[in-house]
Amino acid sequence: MRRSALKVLAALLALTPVAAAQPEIELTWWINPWRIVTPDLPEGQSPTGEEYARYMSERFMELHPNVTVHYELVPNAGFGEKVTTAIFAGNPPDVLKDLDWNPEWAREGLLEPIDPYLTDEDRQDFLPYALEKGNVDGQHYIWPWNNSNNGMGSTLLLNTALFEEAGVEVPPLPDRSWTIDEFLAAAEKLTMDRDGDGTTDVYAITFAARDTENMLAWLMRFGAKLINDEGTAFVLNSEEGVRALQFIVDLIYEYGYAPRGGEALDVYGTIENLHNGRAAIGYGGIYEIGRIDRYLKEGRIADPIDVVIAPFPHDPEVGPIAYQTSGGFVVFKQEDDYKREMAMEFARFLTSRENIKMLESLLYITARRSANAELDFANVADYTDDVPTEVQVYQAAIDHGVPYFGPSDLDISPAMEYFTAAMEAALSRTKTPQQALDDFVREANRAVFGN
Amino acid sequence: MAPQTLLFAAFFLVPVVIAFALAFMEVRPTRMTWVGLENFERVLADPLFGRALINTSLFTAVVVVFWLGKALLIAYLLDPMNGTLQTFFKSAFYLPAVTSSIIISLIWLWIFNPTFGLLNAFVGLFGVEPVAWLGNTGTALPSLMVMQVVMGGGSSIVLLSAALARIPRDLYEVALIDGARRPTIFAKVILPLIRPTLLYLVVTGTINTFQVFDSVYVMTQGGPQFATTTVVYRIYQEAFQRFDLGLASAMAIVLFLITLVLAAVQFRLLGQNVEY
Repeated sequence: MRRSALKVLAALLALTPVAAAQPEIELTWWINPWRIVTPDLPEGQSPTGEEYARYMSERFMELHPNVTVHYELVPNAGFGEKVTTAIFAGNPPDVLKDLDWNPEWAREGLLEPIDPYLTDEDRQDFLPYALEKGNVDGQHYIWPWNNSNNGMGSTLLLNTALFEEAGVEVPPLPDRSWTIDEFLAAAEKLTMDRDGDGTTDVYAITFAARDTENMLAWLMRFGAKLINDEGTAFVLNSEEGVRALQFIVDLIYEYGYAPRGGEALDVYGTIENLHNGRAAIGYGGIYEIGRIDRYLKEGRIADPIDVVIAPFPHDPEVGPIAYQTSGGFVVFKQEDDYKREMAMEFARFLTSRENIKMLESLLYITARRSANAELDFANVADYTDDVPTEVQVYQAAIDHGVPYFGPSDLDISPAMEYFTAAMEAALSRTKTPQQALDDFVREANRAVFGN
Repeated sequence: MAPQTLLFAAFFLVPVVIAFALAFMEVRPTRMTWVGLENFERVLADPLFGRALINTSLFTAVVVVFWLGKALLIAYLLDPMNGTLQTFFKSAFYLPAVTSSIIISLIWLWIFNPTFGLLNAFVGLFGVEPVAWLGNTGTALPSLMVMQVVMGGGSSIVLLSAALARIPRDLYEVALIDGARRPTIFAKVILPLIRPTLLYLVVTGTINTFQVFDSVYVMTQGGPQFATTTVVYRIYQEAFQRFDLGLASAMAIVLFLITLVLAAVQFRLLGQNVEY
């Protein structure tokens, strides 16, 4: 017995130098709620948004017993305010999920570049635009995680029952690509007055002035750009931009394919119109199919809606265009070398091929090619016939992504309220498309570029 | 130093002094740079601030007049009632004052909803087409004004009721014996005698209304087309969305000076001693 105790003591002593080499550290991690189903969540229980943060913190601490991860759930509303307040107070978290990526943080030297920690395999596996999002002056600052923003500005959802009722074929596979003319022909049939009372019961689509991504997606149909290639000026009032905005206004007022009142709507107004059958076409990607499922279970919509994904229609001369975006984790500046290593290790752990796949439960495509090849999104099969096909259509659409909001290291946020105002003006017809976009460009250039 | 002085200094004086200092600086996360009057020049050059100032002035002028008029009318109607009945009505009118302004804004969002809102359902009874009340540049600010007037004034009613109750009944009787009618009594006897209360309500009401923010934040985010952008909402945008604390502080100083001038003018016009 005494000999055994001595052996244990000797073993402990032998381990002591190793333990001493790994100091006890604490990491703070801020993330907005993500209702990801974790492996330890009981069957049938819906995640509240805290499970993911707790689960990942615990798993990491198991791997690194000398590290204590303090996670904090920060609600989406006021997320930016809280983070920037913490930055100005000199007390930001060590690791942060970027909800509102601000390249100024990197320029101000507040973030750690991730380049020394990226392997060649990482660089090849992460989707190029996902990695590029965190590129500031040649260095990368974001560990890519989720791909897309629910699909807004990227793809459309087509209500197959309404397409069938109107006698319209959904655009053909493999990518469901369709032209503006094909869209117009379909929209005419999809706009239905079922009872013949002179009132439209179903519109083809909805436009919402306060829905930035989708409005911009439409404005880019004819080749317009928000910002020039040099990243030095807003150029949305180009001939192409004005033509596109006139096209939208005509769809509402000339053709009646979209309801009036879009100047007062945001993206949830468009979602609602798809869900309650007032519009045959809505916006979004795979995630939005999950929203139908969730709303149905919550009783917010009465009947299931079968949908398929299609890209936005395109002008043949311009080609398909979509919004590519992603999000991920940043590591704030660390004084201590070991703590920096562990903060990076934690961000790497969150975005590893193994762990990134947990986004599947939220119907998000990930930022890693290798993980995406293994996603099947089987839990939304009730709402769309062939999920893998829809995933392929979605990915094919965002393969045509363009620098939607200009260079990733340019902060255009001061200009976007003018964009909303321009859309409100055009959709309410208080300004012509040319006037609305001219005013936007003038004010946006002043606000962002000071000219 | 007395505890209350410490608290006052910690939570009021120091932040105000810091705000004054920040107004002359460019504030970045890692440094602060003295820029003199540059932030104030930016405020003057900001078209949205000018627009916000106009919106806020219009909003304040309309809301203070109607809200005070409403409070005065209700207090005057409650004045002859017995204690219990008066207390009931005063409590009923005071209720919105103890309700979260965010909740009130959410309720009114439903009332103004263009698709299924109560207001459009009501006007629809008269054959009026649905209106996007908060989405139309012509109706958005007036809609916020209506909400503010309808929901506000609870504490003013209580204060005005107290002021009315303090007026000796003899004065009414003398006026009646002299042949004065009710409108004349109201204008020549009551209004002059409650002037100190009115002054207090006008000054505090103007200051409060000039700082309107909650309803704008929840209901319109300053839109459509900046029709409801107010000064404090602009300050919020610069301070907490763009974190340009220097510019936001300069805007706050301008707001402070404006309300100071307005209060001084109101004191000058209404601030006369009343004895009875």
